[in-house]
Amino acid sequence: MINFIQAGRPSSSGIFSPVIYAVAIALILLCPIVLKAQTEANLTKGLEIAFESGIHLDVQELIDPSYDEDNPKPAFIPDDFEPQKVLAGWSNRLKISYRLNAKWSLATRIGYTTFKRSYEKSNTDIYGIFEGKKYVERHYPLDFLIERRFVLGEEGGFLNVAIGPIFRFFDDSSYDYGITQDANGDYYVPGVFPTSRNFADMGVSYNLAYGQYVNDFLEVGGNLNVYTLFYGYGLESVIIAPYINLKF
Amino acid sequence: MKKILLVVVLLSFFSYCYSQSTITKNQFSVGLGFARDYNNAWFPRFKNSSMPEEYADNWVDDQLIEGRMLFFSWYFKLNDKLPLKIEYFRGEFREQYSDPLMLFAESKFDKLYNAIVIGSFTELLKKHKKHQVLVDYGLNFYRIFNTIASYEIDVDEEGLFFPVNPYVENSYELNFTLNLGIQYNFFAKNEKVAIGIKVSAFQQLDYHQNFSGWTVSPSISYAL
Repeated sequence: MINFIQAGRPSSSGIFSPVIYAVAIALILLCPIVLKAQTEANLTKGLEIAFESGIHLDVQELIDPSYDEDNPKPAFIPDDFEPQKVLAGWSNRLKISYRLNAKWSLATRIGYTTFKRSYEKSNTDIYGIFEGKKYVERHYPLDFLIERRFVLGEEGGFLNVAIGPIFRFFDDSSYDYGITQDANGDYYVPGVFPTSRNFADMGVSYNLAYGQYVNDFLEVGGNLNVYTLFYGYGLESVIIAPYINLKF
Repeated sequence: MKKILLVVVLLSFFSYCYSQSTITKNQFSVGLGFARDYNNAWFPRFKNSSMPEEYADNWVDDQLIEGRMLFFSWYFKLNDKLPLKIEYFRGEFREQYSDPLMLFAESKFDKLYNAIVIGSFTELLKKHKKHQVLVDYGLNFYRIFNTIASYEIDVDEEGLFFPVNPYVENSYELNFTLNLGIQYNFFAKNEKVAIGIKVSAFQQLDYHQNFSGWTVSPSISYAL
């Protein structure tokens, strides 16, 4: 089995994924939309549903690396192994909100993000045995937000600031190999087995959005969402997404 | 077979389009919902237990695979008589391993599904301002990505099968299928925005198929 181990790993496409280009193009296309003068008329009580679609960056490994001075690499991990620092995925969220008055609204968001990860840069494939292969990791964030709207003058659009608890559901199905030491003290890989994981954690979601009305029922804008998770995760994700919001 | 079907579908599509006159505006919808893949239930891989002997006796396909599906659709009229629909689907499915020796039992793998549907639609309940029913159909061009672990099977001296050389495999499959959908929309007072529900069905026509099922998605729509 030891001849599975191959030296050298190709650099991963990482953050420069097609998703980023797609979102950049979407943002450029959104720019020339002719916008209506902002009125207060839209800010009445009622149901609003928004759709957000954009880049989801998982920055956990960048901010809190797996291996550092306090937490050195175990002996069996090759010196040149470094996990992927930033994961980029495509986030799709539906936001259902109820506007209480001109300033406040309550919202909940559901949706999912798919990350296509490279094995050789993940924590499971330290020897690069699955070189060039990919696997899927998924996040399902569900957040409950209380939102305050600041109107920036008649022509200036508005800012939405929101905060609330978030529940992040996670699953992936990757593969691992049990690293074992032989009689001479050399490490070898006895086999491959799948590791399907499912878990949930919670944290706090912070949201900032800028938008403008196209007409009384439709608003477009950009959304920045970051969330932190409890139990030592810290800042986990940054989501940058254009959105449309429909007023019912 | 595929080419004949393609021609039949396209011909019926165009003849149908010319005989219809439907909404005069653009309408965009987006929805996020659940999807179910019945492929293994409808087309089991080994009928009448004609399974190769190296396979475990208790080997079964995952009968029902559940996933999530997202869609964007754009309904518009090319001219007075040609209603068109362009739709994008993105789905993901999590499936149980049913590997020959059941070595990975209880583990799961992922399947990603991307599709573009080009087709036509007709609108029912035309006289109602609040209710709208759209029936659509088209050709669904899709791509499936999946990643699985597999292994070669060898026989030892006593005639027992055992796994060797496990490996991880990515596969991409490009294909096309038929797509049928029905969408109900309820318009708000302003007659521009609507909340609705969409049911879509897919059926791949080959024998060796990978995906067939249906999706249910709550949706929101905006009509220009």
